[in-house]
Amino acid sequence: MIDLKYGTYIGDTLNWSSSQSYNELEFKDLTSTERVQGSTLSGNRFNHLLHSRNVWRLTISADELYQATKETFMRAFYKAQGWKWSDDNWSTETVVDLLESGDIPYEFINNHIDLKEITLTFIEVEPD
Amino acid sequence: MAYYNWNDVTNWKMYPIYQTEFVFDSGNHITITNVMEANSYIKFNEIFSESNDDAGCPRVVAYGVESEIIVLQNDYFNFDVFIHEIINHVLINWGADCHIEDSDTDAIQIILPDYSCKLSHSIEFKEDYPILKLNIKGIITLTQMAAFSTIFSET
Repeated sequence: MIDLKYGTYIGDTLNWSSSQSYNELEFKDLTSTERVQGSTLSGNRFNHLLHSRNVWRLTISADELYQATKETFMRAFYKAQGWKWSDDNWSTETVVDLLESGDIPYEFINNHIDLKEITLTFIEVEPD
Repeated sequence: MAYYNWNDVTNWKMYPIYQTEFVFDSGNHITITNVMEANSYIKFNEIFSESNDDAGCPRVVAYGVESEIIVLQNDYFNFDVFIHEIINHVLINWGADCHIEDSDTDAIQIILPDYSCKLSHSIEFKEDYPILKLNIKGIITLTQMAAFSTIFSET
């Protein structure tokens, strides 16, 4: 199970929502890097690691999103201004940035409007 | 007594269907009782997630329902009204009372609400009498299936 909260600004204060639990389909812990790569005029290659950070890929499927409260929460989560998750009932939590933007990335299983599946990518705010 | 494996819903089959009710977006409710051919049936199939789960397998996220109902020619009462609804309106809700195959379990109701069902039909003629064949497809949520599991897991 994964618990999610989203934050919205009121004035300059980020207010966190109540928690919502999901039985996730997939939650993968990944690593992302940013590098400067190239070669010098003499042909020597260089590869500088600027930073690395954790990335998580979360997929929640229709077995959860058919419930109206969970689907409504997901829509609010998607258009929020802050995000965090916990996998131990908020004993610990990870504040993240949401990578997706644009139309909410629902996949419709069997092209059925009641069978929504969503994959979101969270990226660590502070680099390693 | 029959035994049904809850984990394999494709073995679930229900008939005969004693009564079935159709609700169309016109607001009309059409109920058909005791005029269906005996091999009218309802069966189930699994619907899997688009992606694989953390273990690398797709997950069952809902269940599909498929039904074929053959309406006998002796139901003249609603026949014309029913055909008019089928041709001109969208099915938005469907329910059926039936028995589980080879079981003593009494009638249960399958309900496909809120645009989760599709209806197609064909009309054949046996001599001069029309026979209406209805095919219904829809989805049932995990919560609804959990309720059915107590019935299907009878021994």
